[in-house]
Amino acid sequence: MSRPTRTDDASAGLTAANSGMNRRRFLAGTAALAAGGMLMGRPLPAAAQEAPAKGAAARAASSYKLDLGGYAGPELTSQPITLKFMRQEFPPHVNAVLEEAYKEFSAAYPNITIQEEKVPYGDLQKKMQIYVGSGAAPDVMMGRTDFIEAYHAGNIALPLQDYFLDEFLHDILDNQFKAASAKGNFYGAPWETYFTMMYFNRDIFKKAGVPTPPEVTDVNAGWTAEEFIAALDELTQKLRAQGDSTTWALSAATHGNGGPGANYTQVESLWVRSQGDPNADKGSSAYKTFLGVSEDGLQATGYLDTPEAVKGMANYQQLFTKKLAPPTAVPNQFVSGVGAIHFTGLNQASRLFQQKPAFEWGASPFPRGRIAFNCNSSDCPIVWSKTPYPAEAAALVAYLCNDANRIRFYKTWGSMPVRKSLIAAIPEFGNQQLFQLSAAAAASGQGAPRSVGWFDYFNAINPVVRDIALGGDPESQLKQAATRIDGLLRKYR
Amino acid sequence: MSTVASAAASARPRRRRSAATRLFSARTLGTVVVILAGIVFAFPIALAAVYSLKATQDILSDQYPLSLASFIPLRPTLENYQTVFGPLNFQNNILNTLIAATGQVVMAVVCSTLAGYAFARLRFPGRDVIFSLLLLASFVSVEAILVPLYSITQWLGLTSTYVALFLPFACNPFGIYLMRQSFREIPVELEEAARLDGANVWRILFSIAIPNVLPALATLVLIQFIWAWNAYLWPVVIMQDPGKQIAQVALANMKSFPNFPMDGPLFAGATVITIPLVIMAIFLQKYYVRGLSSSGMK
Repeated sequence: MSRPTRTDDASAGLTAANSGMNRRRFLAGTAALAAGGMLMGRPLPAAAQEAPAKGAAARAASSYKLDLGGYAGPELTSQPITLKFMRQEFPPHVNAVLEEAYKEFSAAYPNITIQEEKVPYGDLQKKMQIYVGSGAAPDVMMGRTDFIEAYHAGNIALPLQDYFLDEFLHDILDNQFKAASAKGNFYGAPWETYFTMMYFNRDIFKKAGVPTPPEVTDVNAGWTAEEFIAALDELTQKLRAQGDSTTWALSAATHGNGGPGANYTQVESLWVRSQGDPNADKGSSAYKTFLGVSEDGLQATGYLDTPEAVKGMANYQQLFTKKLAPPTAVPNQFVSGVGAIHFTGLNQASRLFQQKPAFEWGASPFPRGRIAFNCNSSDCPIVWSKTPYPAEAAALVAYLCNDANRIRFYKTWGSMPVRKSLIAAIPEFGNQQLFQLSAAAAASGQGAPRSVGWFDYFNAINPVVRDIALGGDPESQLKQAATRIDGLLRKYR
Repeated sequence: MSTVASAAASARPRRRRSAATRLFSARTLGTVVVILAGIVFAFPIALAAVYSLKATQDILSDQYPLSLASFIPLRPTLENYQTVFGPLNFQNNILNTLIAATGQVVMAVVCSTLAGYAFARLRFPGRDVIFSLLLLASFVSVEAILVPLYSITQWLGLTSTYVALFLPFACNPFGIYLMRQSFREIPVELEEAARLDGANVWRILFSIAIPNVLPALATLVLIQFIWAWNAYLWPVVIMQDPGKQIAQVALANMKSFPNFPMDGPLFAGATVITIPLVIMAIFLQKYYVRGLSSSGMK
């Protein structure tokens, strides 16, 4: 995909509809709700806002009263307004960082009040769809890059490329920029980037006399899926032979509701899509496995049920059939010291550094299949397409994403920054194995399968993964799932 | 004859003993089953209360393998309660929940009583059709009408108000049905006698009908309070002001930080918000059973 710039045709993305409730939006919202999915409907005609003029934006850039980061839109209004920002709840010390930032913003722009709404993480997308369906959404909402196609198709998010400097957009990791863009528009502002790492408990490996995973900085230098399973099998057998019946080689997933099928996007799809190959012939099943869904995003058959995908799921299944991982949700195994390996993101490291657990730990890349694969599905604030204050909302997002605020957020929360200059500016990303590996994983990540119906896909595949973990035949289960997903995606045609 | 009489005389106490033994055994068995069921239901609540006295780090480190330390706080602390009632300001969430629950109980009791009496005793065109439609409405889940419900509430300008938390549930089909059934259990003659004495509908309702359905009212109060106290989805949607958010949503927030367990404060919060329900259940349980019985629902 070519990188959109501020000089791109703004009309391509600025397709906001009139405000107020109408039948179409009501039906769209209700249908989406009933389907458990985001977004119905196509972009509606008629622009409610106008894109900032390029020249005016450039002129205004020097006159902002605050470091608005990559913002390049018009000067902010002097009228009293309230900007609403809906995001997930964070622990108090992370909230404090954001609240401090709002204070700074309000000091520079006292006429702009920022009103936050904090929502449990699992309810963010549901709440967004209700807001959008009812025609009254917050100006800024915490979205996810895996739903960007949906935000575009449902005319939920405002294209942001015209509000940001080109240099700022170019500074974003290429794969994240791609994940946050749809049909030539950039929708999801940079916030953080996710990738899955393999954390391991060094003490457990030592106790069992099994070599630890390679502590490398190259995502291609870790264990293969087969090596991983073999090592965990050996570890389990040796632990059991020593009379240790409580320690698991792989701790239960802690994403979502936990256990198998917890989060296909960030966990289980890695087993499947790593068996694909983005460089293979476009008609090959390896290429289709990598994509996960057809180019138009509306067909899973032939993409989710390929021989490669079946192999990936069969590997995953071995984790449970060989009793390497608990077949159900179990909280806190790794941090409690009874899980030898745990898959999760970088902010786990931040927590471990603070917590100083009673064991030594290390990190290694996620096991690779045909390729080393990681899904970069991440949180990203979006601006509501029908906000009455597009420039101010975009400016707020840009401000929260400026260097100082992102570094503060990284130091407090520990998730991976998404801009190359920030990664380069933080010393540990250049000189410590864990962080060097993180930088490599972040740079090589791939987006979730591109589909307007990713929410349907995601909800349909998670229980299938659970069934496979509990002994279902991977081939037939994936075929059934693909057929079912095709049916779910039909409504977007 | 004397032998037969003597045998019969000795058999009677034996039979009595046997019956008594059977009764004792049945009661003992029943008691054991009830105690076991009680333990099963109380265990998670008790465990949450115990865990609330452990630091999060201790909860994590004592969790596996299961040992005495998994269940008993060896280093008891009140730090979770200090966090919950300090930086997290959970008392504010509890107050909000109390306001919402009280509002819902009052609204539901008033509406259900009036509507229930009307459906039970008053004659007006389309009464049964309206009542049937009302019952049908109870089969539509809140999730299915969330978007229009939100739109209407917003149109009324009630978003992020306390009223919005309970107004949509003022008309409660279950409550109306419960009260209607209870009013129908009152002998008609009582009301006819009052009418002959010159009492109007309101007088009959307040002086005759309501005093006879107090157990059903207690049931309604209890059920409505539990529903309102445990509400989650609607408050998540309609309440945008963090200062007015209810306790259940605040608890869910504590659980939503990836890789940042806040188990200690979470258990403390869960313990605190369980207490009112337990107290209410203990004091109102006899009314609850009697109310269901008198309404013909049991």
